[in-house]
Amino acid sequence: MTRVLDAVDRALMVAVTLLIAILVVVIAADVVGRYGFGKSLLFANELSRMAFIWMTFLTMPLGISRGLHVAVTTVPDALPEAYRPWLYRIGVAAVFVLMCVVCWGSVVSIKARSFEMLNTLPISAAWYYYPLAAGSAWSAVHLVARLIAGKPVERTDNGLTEQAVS
Amino acid sequence: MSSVVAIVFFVTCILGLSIAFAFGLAGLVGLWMSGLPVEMLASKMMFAVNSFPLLAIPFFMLAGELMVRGGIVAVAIEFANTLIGRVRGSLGHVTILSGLGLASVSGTAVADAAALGGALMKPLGNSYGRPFGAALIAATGNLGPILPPSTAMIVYATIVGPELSLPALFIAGVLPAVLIAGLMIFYVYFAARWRGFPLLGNPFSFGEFARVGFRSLPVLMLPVIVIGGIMGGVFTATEGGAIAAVFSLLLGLFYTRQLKLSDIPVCLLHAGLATGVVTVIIAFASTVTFIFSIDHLPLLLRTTIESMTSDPTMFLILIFLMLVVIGMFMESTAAYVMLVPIFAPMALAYGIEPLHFALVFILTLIVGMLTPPVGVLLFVMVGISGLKISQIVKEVWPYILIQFGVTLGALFFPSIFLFLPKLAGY
Repeated sequence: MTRVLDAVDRALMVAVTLLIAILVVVIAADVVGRYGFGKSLLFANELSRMAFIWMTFLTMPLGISRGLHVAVTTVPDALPEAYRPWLYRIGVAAVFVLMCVVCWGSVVSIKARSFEMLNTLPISAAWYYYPLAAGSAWSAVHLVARLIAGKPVERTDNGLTEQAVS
Repeated sequence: MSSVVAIVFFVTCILGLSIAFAFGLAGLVGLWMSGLPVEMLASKMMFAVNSFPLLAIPFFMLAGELMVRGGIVAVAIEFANTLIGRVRGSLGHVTILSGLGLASVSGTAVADAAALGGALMKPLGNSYGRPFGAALIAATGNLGPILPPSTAMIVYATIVGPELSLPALFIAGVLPAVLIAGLMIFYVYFAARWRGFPLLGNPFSFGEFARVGFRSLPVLMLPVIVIGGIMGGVFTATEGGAIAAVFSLLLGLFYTRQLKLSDIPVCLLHAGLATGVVTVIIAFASTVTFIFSIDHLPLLLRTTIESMTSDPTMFLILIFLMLVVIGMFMESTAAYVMLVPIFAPMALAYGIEPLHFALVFILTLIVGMLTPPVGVLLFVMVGISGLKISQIVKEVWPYILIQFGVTLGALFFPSIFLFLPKLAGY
């Protein structure tokens, strides 16, 4: 189970890395094109926003699995050791419900937007919602794993991410 | 309904849930209570982050990462060291000036404090004591979102919309940042004399200054090109961010030659993850602000505050006091997303210039990143220095007073603090 979770997370990290690279290249090329050659990249705005949305929602499950999301833990930390896993599990269960609703909402939007084409890219507006559906679904899977574990993940943004892209 | 949503948010936050998900749950409850389809949550989230100006955030995060790994921060520190020479508290002054340099390219307090902490915590701790060093670095990190470019300003301007110019806001941040840095240098100097800190560094030499200055020129040009380009209207903040990232990359690869090709994916990923943490909060919070607006909360609050005072300055003081308290307990991005849509239109109704209100609002919340009990910069420095939070808090108060003092200056003297944007034609 852990191996599968980690493998998919690594794939997501590679995707996030590529998306940021796309963002930089597209926007920088647009500026160079505009001032250097007097021509703009028509698709720069739409493609960069698309990459940004994908990056945001693919980061969401990574934030759960790597303990990156900001939280104030003063009260839970002050609780007796025996109560902490239960409080944590209640919170995780609530977020699981939230992720299921977000995933369902994304699927509804994907269906509604499938025939609406973007102005400068040859794809439909549903592509804005695919990362939200994928991100929330994968977040839900991670939340199930956290529910079983009964304790939060320690923040590990350095070691694991370097390992994942090297 | 708004009160229930707010209660759900605060209770879930207090119980340790991530702020982003606390917003999500509060928004979900709000949608359910208002009888709207709960699947709306997804489209609200998507629209909240489907914004070109927000794209500047990962770029400035990336530029900061590349500056640290590419040894550009080290060049800035060496230049500051030569500039300061052998005076009382010189290492502290070097920290503040290097922080200003870093802040002029990066836009976040946490990243700047982490970068400065990695490079300067040890020498500061050895010379002036670890609590003094940790507090100084935390306070210097706060210059990141005050001096342009600023992630906080990008988020604020994106929420407010076209009625507020981001370049004007950037320019408005210059004076408070320089003033805070200057006052911090004064404080460090007198604290060093009073406490008898050792004299460090070499005496100032013009030859050495010219030599190091010439060598640092490409690094010093980085903020000039990026900030100058944004403020001069050559490119947008987002495009300026991309230029900053590319420029930092080229400097690290070909000038300092400390950046390896294998570092680039790591920098990209770190920037992506750091951005995602912020934008996921913005995405989830959008439903809460939507619920507040359909529940006419801004109108209700406006009526309440108008019944208390009709004086714009008094209104600003009330907002300042409220934000001081909120800043002590709440993460700043969450506070922007939740409160700006409510209070920015109210300030306009009081006849307060949007730029003035934005500056006071942003400065107050930025100082909140330094105030206990939930000062995120204090937590960063706890991680870097290994000290207890109480040890850092004892040393951080003078910096908090300086930064709040400058914020109050901006509140009471808008003509002085908005002089630069006016001069630039905004």
